[in-house]
Amino acid sequence: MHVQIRNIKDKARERLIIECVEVTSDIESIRAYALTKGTTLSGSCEERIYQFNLADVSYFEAFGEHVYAYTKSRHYKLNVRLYMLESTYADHHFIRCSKSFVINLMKLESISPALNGRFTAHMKSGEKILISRQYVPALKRVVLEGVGNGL
Amino acid sequence: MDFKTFFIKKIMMSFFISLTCITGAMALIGMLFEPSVRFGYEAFLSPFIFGTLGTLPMLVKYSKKELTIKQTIMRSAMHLMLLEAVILTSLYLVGLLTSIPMAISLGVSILLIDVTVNLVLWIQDSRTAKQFNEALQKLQREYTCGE
Repeated sequence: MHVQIRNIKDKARERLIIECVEVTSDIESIRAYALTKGTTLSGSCEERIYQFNLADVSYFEAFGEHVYAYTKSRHYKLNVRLYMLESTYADHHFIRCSKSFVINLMKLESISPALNGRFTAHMKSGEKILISRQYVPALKRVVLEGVGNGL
Repeated sequence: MDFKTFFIKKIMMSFFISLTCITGAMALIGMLFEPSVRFGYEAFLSPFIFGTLGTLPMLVKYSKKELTIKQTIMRSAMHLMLLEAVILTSLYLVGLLTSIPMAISLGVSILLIDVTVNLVLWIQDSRTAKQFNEALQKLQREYTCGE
C-alpha cells in the first residue's frame, strides 16, 4: 500500500484519509488504531490498574469524590475531575449531559423525552442516563448543528 | 439549581406571566359581561393576590438535586393538587364559588389545562428527540465512514 504523509500547519485539521477499493478487516484495524491512538486512559478496577481505549468508554460519571469510566464490560475509577475529561475529550465526541455525567455521543443509541424539558439518553450498552434541562441546548447545538465540541 | 435561580427563573417568571394574564382576562371579561361596573383602586391588588396564590404551589417543584422521572411525576401531581386547592379555596372565600357542580367543573377544567400543557410540551420534546436521533445517526455514520 502506498503511504503518503503531508505536513500541514493547522493542528485541528490533522486527519488520516484511507483510500481503498474495499473496507477490509486490515483497513478496519488501521482505522481503529488511528482513532484510539494517543487516547488511552488508565484507571483502577478491583485493585488493579488497567489501560483502556477512550473510544470504548460509554460515559464518565462523577460519584462522590471519584470519577468512573464505564465501558461495555467494566467500570474504572479515574484520578481526574469530570470537568477536565469534558474539556479534554470534547473533540472526541464526549459531552456533558448533567452535573455528574459526560457521555460519548458515539455510544449513544437515542434520546427520548423525559419530563420538564429533560431527556433520557439511551446508551448502546442499555443504560439510561438523564439529560438535564440546562445541558439540552448545548447537546442539540453539537448534534443538530454540528457546532461547538470540536465537531 | 439553587433556590435563588429557581426563584428568579421559575417563580418570578410564572408570577409575572400570571399577573399579565389575570389583568388581561379581568379587563376582557369585565368589558364583555359587566361593562358598567366600576372598581376602586383596591381592584389593582387582585391580580397580585391571585398571581401570588397561583404561583406559590410551584415551590413544591424545587429540588437542589436532579429529580428522577418518578419524583418529577410525584411533584407535578402535588403541584396540580395544591393549585386546585388554592384556586378553589380562594374562589370559595371571595364568594365566587357557589355550588359543588361549579367546583367540580372548575377542578376538571384546571386538570384538563394542566394535562394539555404537559401534552403539548411532550409532543414538542418528542419532535426534538426525533430530529436529534436522526442527526445523531448521521453523525455516527459520518464518523464511522471517516467522511
